[in-house]
Amino acid sequence: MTLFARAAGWFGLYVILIVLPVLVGSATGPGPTTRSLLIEFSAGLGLLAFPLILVQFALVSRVKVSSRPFGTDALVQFHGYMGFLALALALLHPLLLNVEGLPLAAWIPFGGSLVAVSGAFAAWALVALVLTTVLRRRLALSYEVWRALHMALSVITTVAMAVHVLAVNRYSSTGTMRAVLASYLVMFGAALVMYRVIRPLRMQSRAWTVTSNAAIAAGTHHLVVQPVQHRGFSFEPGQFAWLTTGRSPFSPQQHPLSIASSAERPEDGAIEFAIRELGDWSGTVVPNLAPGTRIWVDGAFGAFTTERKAAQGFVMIAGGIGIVPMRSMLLTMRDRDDRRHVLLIYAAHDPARMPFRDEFEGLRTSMALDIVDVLEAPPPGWNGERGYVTAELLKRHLPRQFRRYHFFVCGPPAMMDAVEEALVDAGAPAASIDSERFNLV
Amino acid sequence: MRHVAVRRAALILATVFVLFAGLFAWMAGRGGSHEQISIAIEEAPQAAAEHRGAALYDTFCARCHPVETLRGPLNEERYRELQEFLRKHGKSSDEEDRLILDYLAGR
Repeated sequence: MTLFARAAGWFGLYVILIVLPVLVGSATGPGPTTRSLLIEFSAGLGLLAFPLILVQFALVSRVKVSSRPFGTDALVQFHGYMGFLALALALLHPLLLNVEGLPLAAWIPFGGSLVAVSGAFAAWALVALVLTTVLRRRLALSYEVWRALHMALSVITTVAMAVHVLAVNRYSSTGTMRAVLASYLVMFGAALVMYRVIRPLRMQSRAWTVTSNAAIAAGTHHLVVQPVQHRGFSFEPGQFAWLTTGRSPFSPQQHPLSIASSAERPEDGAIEFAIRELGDWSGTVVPNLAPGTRIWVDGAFGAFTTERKAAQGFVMIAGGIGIVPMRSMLLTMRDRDDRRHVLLIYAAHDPARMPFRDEFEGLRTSMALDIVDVLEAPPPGWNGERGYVTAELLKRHLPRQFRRYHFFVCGPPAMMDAVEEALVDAGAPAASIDSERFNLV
Repeated sequence: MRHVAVRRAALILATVFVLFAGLFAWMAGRGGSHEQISIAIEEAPQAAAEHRGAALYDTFCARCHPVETLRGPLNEERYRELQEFLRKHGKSSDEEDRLILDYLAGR
């Protein structure tokens, strides 16, 4: 089955899962009623919000088979959009009832009926869930704290919502509907147990050890890790893995990182990462990962890869630490004797922030690689490109048959947006442009 | 550009889901005349009253009269008989008697 067919299948399953309670409610509910259209519309929104929220967890629970056709970053992005939609539906549900006479006191999560209290709890927990995500940096929440909070609020929302739906006891009064709702709760619970308990337990016996940790450029660490008494895992060039540091795989210090090494792994199964000091974990924990430190690596994920791309060549545009997946792609092409042409456009603030730059120069002798450096703050005497990657710069350097190439872009979000726009302006087909957006929250 | 495709898919899905809720409402609301919202807040006092009636029954009556022997539909005559009985019997107030009776009658 092709990736497209698999993606269509998963997407269809998702849509069915979301609309199923509404369909069941329509088929088994109390039938034509004398309630107003607005009240029934509100009930419909509530019946959609319930599965939307419960399926949210499955979207980001690292299930390889369902994430492979889309890419984990795309699923995380989709998870975000559906979170906003679920919030909108969940808030519109009581607001429409307010219009129809439900007192505003129903928003107070204390002292009312079970229906009102559970509904208000679910709504406010969902508001807190979205706000703490959108405002994480402004609230100065560390990634680990946010992650724990996100999980706790998800569970509170889910439980309160389930109690609310059952307590309303209108569309949920039939055995069929109760069975459907129960199956969603079982699915949520199973995903939670799988992701939070079983996966870390399995990782416990598959530890990795740090074999070297070297500073290779300004604020950038080159980490080499090796599996301990197991074979590690295979990956596609450009994919990423979750690195867990701390006492056990249950540690909250879990971060997604692009793999920097060749997909043609050495005998010992070692893989490499390059990590820039950008946050609290990368700035304080990573520099102190001494050789011999035990860590856990869960992979591989993502669809940002040269694998199965039947292109004539590749244009790779990297900004700063966004070079990491490109390194994996280039080393893999070298190891597989892939002779397709590659144009690497490497943008950075200054030469000190260009990890692996010298190594790429060496690759030019063994593969068809052209490199264009673009510096924001070039040193005196610099004759190369300066400033940013623009449409004009691209037109100067893109190969003649660039429309048959595939384009990879990785870097800061603003840079990726600008470069994608510039590529389309320059004539690159939008369907041939891939970007890796790791800015999870 | 996957992220653009994702944004479009999310927008289309949001539209489809809202339309779906509208269709659901239209199918469910074909009953004709409208009634006001009767969930939650109207149910709340009823439920609270029922809980209070049950609690009062447990306090004043349950020791001698198992609830299964008395709870069920009450016609007006039977309701008045029990009301009179409660007035003369036990320590509950008239308001508490009414809550107990409503609980027994399932009103």
